[in-house]
Amino acid sequence: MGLSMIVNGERLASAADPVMPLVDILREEFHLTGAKPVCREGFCGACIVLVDGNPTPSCLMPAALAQGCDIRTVEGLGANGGLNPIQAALEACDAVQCGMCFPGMVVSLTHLLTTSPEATRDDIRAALTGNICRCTGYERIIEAALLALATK
Amino acid sequence: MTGDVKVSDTSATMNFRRRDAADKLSGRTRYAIDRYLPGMLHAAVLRASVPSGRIASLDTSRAARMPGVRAVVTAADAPGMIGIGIADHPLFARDVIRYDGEPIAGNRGGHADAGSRRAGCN
Repeated sequence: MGLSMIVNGERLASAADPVMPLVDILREEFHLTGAKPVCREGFCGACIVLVDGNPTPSCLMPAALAQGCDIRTVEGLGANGGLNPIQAALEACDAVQCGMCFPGMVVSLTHLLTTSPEATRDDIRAALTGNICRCTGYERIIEAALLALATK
Repeated sequence: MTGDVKVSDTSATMNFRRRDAADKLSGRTRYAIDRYLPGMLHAAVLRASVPSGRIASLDTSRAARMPGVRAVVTAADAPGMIGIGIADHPLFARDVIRYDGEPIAGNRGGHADAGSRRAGCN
């Protein structure tokens, strides 16, 4: 039984084992290596993708549950290969360090920006509870989110 | 700021944009974890579980016999020192353990699962 899902707007098929984590299908079959399987336990957030619009740790999602879903990864956020508003703000605020957490950070923040345009600093912090940054650059990330909200 | 403050090295004061940021923000950057090559092996590292100690012996025979394991490497396979900028530490602990978590040995298996089954050394 094959699996089928829409990834970044494109319908893709996979013959993977239904219990294979979605992150591995995205990376190894679809060659979308943006999402990172860092902890594989759902707490680091580096593998977060949008599943039907909701930020979801793709390491904890068996492929079968993604059947028919609309998946959006960090690679599919900007239009025409450009940066979306939160990505641009993160670059402008010099928030990027090692960058391993950003594939997930950017997905979580993109969701926040589109669903809560009135978000406060506390809302941003709450939205990022599932995204761990080991460079500990949270302040600049929050500043960037505030900038993106303000300039939206 | 008061008076004439002069910074002779202008590069120290220039506000450069990080040139790797856009790629990192859009998932384009290829980290080591993102590289898949034909015939690539996966490794697992056995790390020290004590902050200090002396390595009396290291028996890697059981790890070497595990299914899928192609090789086991220790300090004997990695002479010399390494380090980013300053080469000041061995790749694997040599005779002594200097910190909790110091790498002691690594194995290379054909498949990710073989490598991650606790490097399996005694």
